[in-house]
Amino acid sequence: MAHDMTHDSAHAGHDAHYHYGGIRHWLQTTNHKDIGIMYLIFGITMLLVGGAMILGVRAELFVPGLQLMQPEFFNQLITLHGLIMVFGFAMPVATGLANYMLPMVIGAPDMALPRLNNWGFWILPPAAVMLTLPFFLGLANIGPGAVDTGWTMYAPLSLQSGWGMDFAIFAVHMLGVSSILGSINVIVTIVNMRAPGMTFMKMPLFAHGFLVTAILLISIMPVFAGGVTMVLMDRHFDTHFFNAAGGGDPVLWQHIFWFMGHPEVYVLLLPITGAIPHVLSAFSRKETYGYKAQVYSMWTIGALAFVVWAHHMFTSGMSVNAQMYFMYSTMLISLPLAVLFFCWIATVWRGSLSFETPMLFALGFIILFGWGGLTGLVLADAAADPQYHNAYFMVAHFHYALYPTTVMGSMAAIYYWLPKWTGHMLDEKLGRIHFWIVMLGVNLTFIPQFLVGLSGMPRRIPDYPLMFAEWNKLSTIGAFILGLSHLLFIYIVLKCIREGKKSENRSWEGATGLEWTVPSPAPYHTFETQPKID
Amino acid sequence: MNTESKNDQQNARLALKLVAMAVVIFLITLWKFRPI
Repeated sequence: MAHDMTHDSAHAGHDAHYHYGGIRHWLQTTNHKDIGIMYLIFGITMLLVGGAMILGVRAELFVPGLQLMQPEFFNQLITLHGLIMVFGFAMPVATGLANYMLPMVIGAPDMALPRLNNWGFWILPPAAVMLTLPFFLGLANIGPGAVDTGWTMYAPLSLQSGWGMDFAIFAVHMLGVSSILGSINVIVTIVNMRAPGMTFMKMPLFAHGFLVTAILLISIMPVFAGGVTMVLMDRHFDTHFFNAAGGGDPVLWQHIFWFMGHPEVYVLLLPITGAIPHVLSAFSRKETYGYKAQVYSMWTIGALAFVVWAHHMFTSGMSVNAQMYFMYSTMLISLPLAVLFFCWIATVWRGSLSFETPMLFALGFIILFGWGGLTGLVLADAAADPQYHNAYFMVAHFHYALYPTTVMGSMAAIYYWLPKWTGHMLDEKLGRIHFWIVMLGVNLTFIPQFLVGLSGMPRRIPDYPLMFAEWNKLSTIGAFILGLSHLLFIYIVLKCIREGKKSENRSWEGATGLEWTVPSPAPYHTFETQPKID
Repeated sequence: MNTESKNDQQNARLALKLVAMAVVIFLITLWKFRPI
């Protein structure tokens, strides 16, 4: 599709002399690669912070009874884990991928709005501080501690919680602004700055994934911002949006939250469904199967994401008709998702396969996310849902949906493009070890949670009956294995940067796309002259 | 006006429309669910 292009030599000289030193550079940079790197580093840091918190939770759940912490502290840990992983890790890592790769895959010189891009990133660290500060103050016996309502922040709990909740509200506002700015940049870049000749139906799937994601985000985050603003007003300005005592409706919060919360799942999924076909195609040495079908499926998933939110609320007392509607509309999403799955399998089918680290992570994502999807169908059944709702089965389901997507999918993409970013190949042996540790860790952590959930163990409790002890022990061991795997990931990346074998322009034999036509590492300014697409 | 600043203007216009869209959605949310 793309013409090979040689990087402008005068420009390469400029790149070679570029100074990366100093905090000022990172504060003021408007380069999409710099900002992409900052998003990725921020996201991985938050993965470690959120991961450490949940390891505290798993340590408490290792045996029945209360050993390490009081229930109030336990609640803070699970709440922060959820908020940090969704808003602090998964979304920033996806935005980092978008920043670094989007201009390169569509042949643009940079993101459309570079200063906005810088601002969008630098809102994140203060937001993370805002979210976690009450937690650390609480550790020093100052204040009531962090928000402890669960990441869903359901009313009336959110109206009664300590001032950690107010910090969380402002943090959510800041994170929302950052997401909206990032989304605006993605939309404007894709709409206005594609290489000449790159029509929408010639655009890489990676770009489609991010375009749908950006449209979803820009539509849902203002609603969520409105919702938390109402909580703030209920808490401090005597309004009664969600306070039943004043004529408000706590269930209204659930509707507002899940109107954001469900599309949010696709915000986390769609960038990965855009990236995975690139990896599968490269290591199958075949063109992506069913390009158009995948594009239409992604856009269909994006559209359906807006109309299924109340399947999270089957137990909150809605009419049977409403339950039927949300059940069937939710199940409908499995159709475009199945199309994506079959296209991925057909891409790999009869390909000339090799199993380098990115491919392993891509295949692992498909298999494990498949489990997450199938168990989601069970939960989508309004008649069966009360059995699983608020049980560990549900926790296992959404971790099977989100861990393979946000962590394994991101790692597939990061490992795939790492040689393009660093100019070095990664240590394949360590990469494969990393993959198998992750596979062991995910299954050991979450399969036991399916089983204890089916047996009736509720979620969000620090203590449990003796009958669940063995499975919880295994789950905790799995969680610590997963935690260690993330440290190995960081070591692999650092090793790749320092001593990896030199990479060619096209780092992987079967890789196609504009990004592989430029040198590795990619020049500071990738396309001074936009490539033309046939 | 050269091509580059024309493109910049085009980008800025689309960005402003998207900002306006986000602000309108935020305000509609507050207005729609106001306590009566």
